[in-house]
Amino acid sequence: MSCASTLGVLLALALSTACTIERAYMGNEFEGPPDGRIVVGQTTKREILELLGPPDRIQRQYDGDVFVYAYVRRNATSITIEEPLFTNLTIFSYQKSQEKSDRMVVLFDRAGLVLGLGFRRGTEQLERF
Amino acid sequence: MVRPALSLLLAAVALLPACIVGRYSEGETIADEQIPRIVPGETTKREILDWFGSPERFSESAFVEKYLTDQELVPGPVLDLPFADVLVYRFTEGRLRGIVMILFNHIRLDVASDTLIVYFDDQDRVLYYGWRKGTDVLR
Repeated sequence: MSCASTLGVLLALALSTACTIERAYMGNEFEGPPDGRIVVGQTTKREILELLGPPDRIQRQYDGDVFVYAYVRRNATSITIEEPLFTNLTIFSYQKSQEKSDRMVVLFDRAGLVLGLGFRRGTEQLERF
Repeated sequence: MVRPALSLLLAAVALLPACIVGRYSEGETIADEQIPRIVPGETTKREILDWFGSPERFSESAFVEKYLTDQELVPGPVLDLPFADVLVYRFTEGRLRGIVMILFNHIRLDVASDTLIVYFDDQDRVLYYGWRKGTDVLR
């Protein structure tokens, strides 16, 4: 190995490059509302608990409860090139973070019947890197 | 001969991997063998408390859940206020895995929970309940 090659290897090591991929998945993944099985004004809170399980949050309103189901995914990627030995200088830094969630809310009236339902699947929009 | 070996050694050190494995849990495990004993209209609140113990928000603070809530990663405690007609039991588990090298790092955190919610009528009998064993996905 020539002096130039050795110098190249040492320089490459001195310029530390780090690529970091982070994934954080919070909560319990859930399917969307089952087709045709939830009917506004007819389906009861009991049936919702059987169909969808317990919510991640219950909000109490004057008119009745709101069940909130949530599943959050956060993807983050970063690339950093720095010189850690002498100057501790960051030469290049790139960071990307995306957070998307699947969320569903079920509104009930005071009698415990479904008043409305909202669902949005956000995790499908997550980019891989 | 020495220099290539030295270069290889330096490269090996530079690519030296380290593993990160972590687990945490929060709350008391839910006695899921008791779930089939819950009968709406018959089971009383006293029996629920006997079988499952102190519900969420009556036991110790959930530090990790508070942190995750502050970071807006989870919606927060199931109930903000302890209502007399709902008892909530929750056991949260997290798993952290990662590989850390100088050039490449990969870290993954999974958090899931088991949740039991029991509604009571004005006679303190179970009206309906919901149960989900969410931590199975971490096994």
